[in-house]
Amino acid sequence: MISPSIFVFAPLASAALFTALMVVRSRNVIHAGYWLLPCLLAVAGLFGSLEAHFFVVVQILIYAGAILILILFALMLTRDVMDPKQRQTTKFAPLAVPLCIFVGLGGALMMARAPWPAIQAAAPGPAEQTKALGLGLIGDYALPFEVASLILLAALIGAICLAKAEKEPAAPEPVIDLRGEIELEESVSAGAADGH
Amino acid sequence: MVIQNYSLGPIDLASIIPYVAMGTILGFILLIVPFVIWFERVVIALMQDRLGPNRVGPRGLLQTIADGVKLFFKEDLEPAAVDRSLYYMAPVLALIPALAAGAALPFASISLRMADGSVKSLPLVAGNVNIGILFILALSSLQVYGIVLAGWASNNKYSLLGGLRSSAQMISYELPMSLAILTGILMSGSLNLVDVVNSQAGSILDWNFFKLNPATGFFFPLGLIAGMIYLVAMVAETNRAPFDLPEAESELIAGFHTEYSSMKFAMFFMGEYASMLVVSGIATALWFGGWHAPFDFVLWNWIPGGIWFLAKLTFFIGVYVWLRATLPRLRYDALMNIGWKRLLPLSIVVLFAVATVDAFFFTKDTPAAISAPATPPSGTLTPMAAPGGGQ
Amino acid sequence: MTANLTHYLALSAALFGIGLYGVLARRNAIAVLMGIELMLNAANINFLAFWRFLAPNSVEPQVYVLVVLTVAAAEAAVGLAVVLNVYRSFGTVNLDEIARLKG
Repeated sequence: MISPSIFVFAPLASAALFTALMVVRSRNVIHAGYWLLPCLLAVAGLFGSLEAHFFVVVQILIYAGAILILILFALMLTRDVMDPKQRQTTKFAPLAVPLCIFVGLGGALMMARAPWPAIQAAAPGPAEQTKALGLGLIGDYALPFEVASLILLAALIGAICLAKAEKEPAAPEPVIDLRGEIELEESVSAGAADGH
Repeated sequence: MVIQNYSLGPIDLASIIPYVAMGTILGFILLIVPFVIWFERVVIALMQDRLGPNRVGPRGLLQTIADGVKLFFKEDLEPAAVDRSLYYMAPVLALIPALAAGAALPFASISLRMADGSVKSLPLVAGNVNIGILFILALSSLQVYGIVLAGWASNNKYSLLGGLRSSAQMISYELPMSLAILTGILMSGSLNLVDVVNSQAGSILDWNFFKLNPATGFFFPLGLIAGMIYLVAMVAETNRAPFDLPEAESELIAGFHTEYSSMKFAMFFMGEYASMLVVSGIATALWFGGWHAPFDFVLWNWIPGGIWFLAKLTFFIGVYVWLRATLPRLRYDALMNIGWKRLLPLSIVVLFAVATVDAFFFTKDTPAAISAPATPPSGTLTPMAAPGGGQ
Repeated sequence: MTANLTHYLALSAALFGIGLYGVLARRNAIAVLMGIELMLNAANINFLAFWRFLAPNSVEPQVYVLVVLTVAAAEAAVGLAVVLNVYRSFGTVNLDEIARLKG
């Protein structure tokens, strides 16, 4: 197979674009988070259509399995502050639409019109790919690999510091919904007033 | 045991093996779950000195099927405040990754006599992917969605707490589990589960869990430690006792599936047991020699490999039940401490140690591309390619 | 009919545009992070499309995809830690309100 069939590409591409639109358009931000899952899986499918088998798995493992879970976790922890009935977009949104259409379409056109060399070569099999990638990471591309691990280490330390910092100042005020209790007190005092 | 490779026109036995394996693993997982539940109830009853299920069928064997029929005909309640689409999707997402992960699990090997008289050994696996173990890891990392989704969509405090607990727990234990699996991969030298199993052929000493055969690899205490880390993490990943905090009934009613009834509840149940079977299958294939017998012994050499696999699988299910009957549930902070402060550093140290031992004593083939960049055969990737090379 | 490099590049540009919209227009800080993930995914599609169609025997594009994935993971971890800290001190993840509270 020199090139992936359009019948593989088209459904995956439309699924990726549709779910991506749902991610940015859903009013309920939790729903947006869940739309990201099929979007990431469609991108994994696109990687598969490009015969990058290793990255299909890595995409599912890292994006769908770890990053998205973290995002959903954060969404659930902050669930009570963004009511889906509120406006979900900033005041720049009307400006952003033409800008993004410009970037998307312009980029697509620019990419399409560029004179790419026509090379028709078969991709190596999945076993050779993975092996070559592994050898590359400890050989010629050791520097990007080390930089990536440095970034991860920095992120690790940074995340720990950020998570720890909240303990240093005074205990953060817990967000407790007191409305129910206040109503209860009022009704109790009202009842007491009636009794007197 | 060698089977003749019968052929019927263009189709021969060898070509339909993946489909046979697909049907077998799917049917096995779906059909065996009632009996696993029965087994669990009977064994726990024995351990607690009670009778256990004994009314429906011989020795209560059909009890779970009766329960399933009951669940099937129960009213399907839908609480008023649920997030409908997510509420209905959650049980599906809990079951499907577990079943799909089974596709890359090789569970037996059969020998076929080909037309030219040669004997070929073929693994029974639905999809013999080259990076099979990564595929299974990826799918098992998707498993948490069903639970988190259920916790969120139910719009119930207990469900939400269960879902949050579960996502934190599964993320935490995925790390030591992946590192332990990496250790096993390193000891076997392949990401392909069939190769991993075949690297453990021979006797019990060749299994990755022990691995003290000086000829092929001597990792003795390291394999044991990594295997134990995997076993602990596997119990935590499937949310089973003593790590069953997402559904801790003493504090969270039923955790993430509090609001689920009827078949949707049954699907969560199925998903849990299916993932138990799959992770036990990985443990068998990765650490306990897959379908290979413990040692060469005349009296049992006729036993097909699938039976050995099944026996080991049963052992792990037994361990699950044993743990559930004997250990109390962990406290949440203890759970996180074990995951992050004990298992994770330990698994990193073991991985490093295995890599060191492997590099110094047992490196089978020095990668030619590092020592001498010989001209690679065409069609392979080379890390030495010039920018824009390969044209 | 086969899909060629142009198809993939166009798709990736469109995905990038959608992600950019998410970053620019959403009020919820976490939704903005999701937009960034979309943009990074678009970049990865580009890398792998170039690898497949222009240099299938080079390992370089794959290395950069790995680097992008690493950066994405780091960005998600740190970004979410920041967002949760903001939530703790401001009680909101609404970017408009957080901006208004400065100075």
